[in-house]
Amino acid sequence: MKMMTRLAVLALLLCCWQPTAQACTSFPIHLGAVDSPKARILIEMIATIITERSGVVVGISYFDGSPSLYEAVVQKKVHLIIEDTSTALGLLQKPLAAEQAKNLEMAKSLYKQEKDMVWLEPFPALASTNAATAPVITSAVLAEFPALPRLLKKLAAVLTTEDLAKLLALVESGQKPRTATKEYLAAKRLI
Amino acid sequence: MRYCLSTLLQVFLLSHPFPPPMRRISLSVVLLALLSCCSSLWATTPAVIERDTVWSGTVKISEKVTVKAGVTLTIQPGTRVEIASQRGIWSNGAIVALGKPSRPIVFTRADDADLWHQIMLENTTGRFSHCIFEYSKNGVHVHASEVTITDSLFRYNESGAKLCGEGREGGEKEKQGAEERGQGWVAITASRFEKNGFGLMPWHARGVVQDSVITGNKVGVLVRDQEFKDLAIRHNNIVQNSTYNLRMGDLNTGGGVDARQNWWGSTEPQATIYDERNEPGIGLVSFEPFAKEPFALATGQQ
Repeated sequence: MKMMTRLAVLALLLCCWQPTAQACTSFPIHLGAVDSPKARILIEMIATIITERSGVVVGISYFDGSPSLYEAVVQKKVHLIIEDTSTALGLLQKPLAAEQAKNLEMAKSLYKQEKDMVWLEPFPALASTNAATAPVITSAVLAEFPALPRLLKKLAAVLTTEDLAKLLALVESGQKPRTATKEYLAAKRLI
Repeated sequence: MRYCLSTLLQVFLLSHPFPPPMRRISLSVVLLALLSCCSSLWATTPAVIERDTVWSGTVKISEKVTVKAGVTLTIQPGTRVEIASQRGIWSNGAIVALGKPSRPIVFTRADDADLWHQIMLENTTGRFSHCIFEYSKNGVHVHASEVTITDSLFRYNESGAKLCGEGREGGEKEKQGAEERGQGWVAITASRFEKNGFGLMPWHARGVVQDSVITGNKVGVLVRDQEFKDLAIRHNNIVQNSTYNLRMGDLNTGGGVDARQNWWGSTEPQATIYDERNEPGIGLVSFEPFAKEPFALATGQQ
């Protein structure tokens, strides 16, 4: 009986074992963000606008926190993130100034120096009194796609706080972020 | 892991001398388990074509198929290649798929599966005629290869064909610098691109697209990036694509495209083209002179 049990366990082991398939992760631009409904909306919007208007297929990854996100950036698995100056300066252990512009300038300068990353045009829809939120990209990928800031600026110019709130409500009521953002971009004639 | 399991099995069998009736049952169970294990391996290990191969009848692709350099994969007229979701053929070897008008070669999805990925040709050659490519992400994806496509139909794909003059991103050719990269040449003639997201997507491509019909796509031709001057899109009917008949990609920092002598569906082609005139810096489409009426074209598999 004991032998039969062992045999059954072994057979089960053999049956259940599947070799892991290799995933292809070689996207020319790979987007990343700390996971939240708002981040998913922004990332999906950026991915859609890039692919639809340029033909460049982008990858997307979500992370459970800033440390894993930035680790992926260091490993060159992620090239473009969405970041706000409060989180950024917090990570760099720098004090937050009262004015948004000062914080943005400091974040820009320190990210260039310490992370070799460039802050692009912030989204006015996501601004607060002392913080700005913007796409931040690695210098290497920016050099490869120098027209990317111009493309993302179009999105920043159109997206309003009200639009974002509506999109968030749609997503929280169960609509997929990709569907909601695609419809929004089409309605705004951005794709 | 595979080695560990095999060793574990051997140790188990050696250390358990079963009585005769028990042995038969036990061996059957172990054999069944091994067979099951082997079938899992078969299903998930990429198939590699290492010698000249001929396909005919119905070919089902459930995993990535790789064709090695120096090898030729010949696909006979009338062959139906059914490809599982996200799978496809990655070829460094030659592909020869010459169908006949009455017996086209069909590359399609398996059952109602999601889109299959692509037929990628890299640093090699390919000849396709009287082929149908449908329900894929990229249809035919060419990187630095000499490829001819005639009398073929591309429909219901995210992109009908992606044409790139360079080696794949991150690939060996890519690392060698522009002058050393493979260049390739693509000739597409008498073919039809219909009801795709993007009909054609050239990217640093060299070659010619002519005598073809590009219609009913979201974008007829999307030029992702065009560094080289020797891509000619001419003598085609490029009409009724839902956003633009020809669009320069927003990230294009290269040159323009020669798209003279096409029929654009009207006598005001500019309205159906998105280029430098709409957005400075993305490259100019040379569309003049243009045809004043449609060409009578016999494209494949209409």
